[in-house]
Amino acid sequence: MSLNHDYPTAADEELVGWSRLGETEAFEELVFRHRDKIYARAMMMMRNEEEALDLSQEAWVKAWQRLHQFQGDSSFATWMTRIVINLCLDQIRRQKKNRTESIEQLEEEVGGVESQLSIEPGNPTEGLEKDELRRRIDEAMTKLTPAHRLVLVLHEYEGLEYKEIAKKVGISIGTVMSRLFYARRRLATLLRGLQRERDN
Amino acid sequence: MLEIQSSVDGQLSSQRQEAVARLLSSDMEARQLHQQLTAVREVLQRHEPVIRIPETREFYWSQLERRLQAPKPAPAATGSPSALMWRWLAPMMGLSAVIAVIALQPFTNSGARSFQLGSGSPQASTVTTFSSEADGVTIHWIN
Repeated sequence: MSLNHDYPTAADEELVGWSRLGETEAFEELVFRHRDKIYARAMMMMRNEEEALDLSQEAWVKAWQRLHQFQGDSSFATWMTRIVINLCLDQIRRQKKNRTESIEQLEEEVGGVESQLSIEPGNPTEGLEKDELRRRIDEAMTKLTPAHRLVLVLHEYEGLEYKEIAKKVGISIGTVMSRLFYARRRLATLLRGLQRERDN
Repeated sequence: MLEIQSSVDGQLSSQRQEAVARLLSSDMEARQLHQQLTAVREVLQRHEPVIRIPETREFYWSQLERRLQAPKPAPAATGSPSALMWRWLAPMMGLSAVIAVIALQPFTNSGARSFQLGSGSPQASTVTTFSSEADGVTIHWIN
């Protein structure tokens, strides 16, 4: 059903309004605009292309079914990102049930390791080109455990505070802080290692 | 250490923030940790990895459109205890009926015979029975 709206130039809020009326073309435009961001967030959390694609699509399906719930308090992109993050968290919880290593158990593990990481002064990424840096960050992120990566993504990219992460993930604020600390230290070490490889 | 991180993230009360500031001014290791955490935080926020969907717009949308149009799956009958019980009882009752019919067949002579259960129904079964009085053996086949 198209009502000759100019979808490519319309604002997200207009597209949402038209989508609510059943205009799939308007929704398609929203998908086109934000699909990479939604997929990227799923990919950052799951580190699995197939899962990320599936979850990103599931997020769009959920959004379509719940468009009436979008109040416009935040941007559409933020609203969509929250949906995909919640789906990823559900998926991680399901996977956690099938793993012997639980996310909670990692807490004990990090207590000892974080203090063993050396503190080296200076910026661990100094001198790296932007694209190279992005690629290296992505590479380093894959080396973090899902639990540490999850907290890091929620804090650094979603801008959630400790208590918000704790509530979302179902862990204590202390655990959030501990995991975040370990993830950052580990990332600093990994990035420095990558930088050294490049220099040699 | 975690308090230094909280300071980097701006999640400390002003009183604790001042305490951390004092620590940073006097402790070189604490200062280096603060610098490292700040550097990692900044680098992550400024250089979020760019990840793109490895599919064309048309392909992605066509897949999504199918999911949007797909009817919602019917809820599984897991809710009520009676539904669960019926799920197990129905086949058991069917099997009991078959056994009862077989047991009630008179076997006066030796030989094989067949009869149909539920004839006319798409799930009708044929029961073939072989009985030998001399050997004291009875065998049933259910097709």
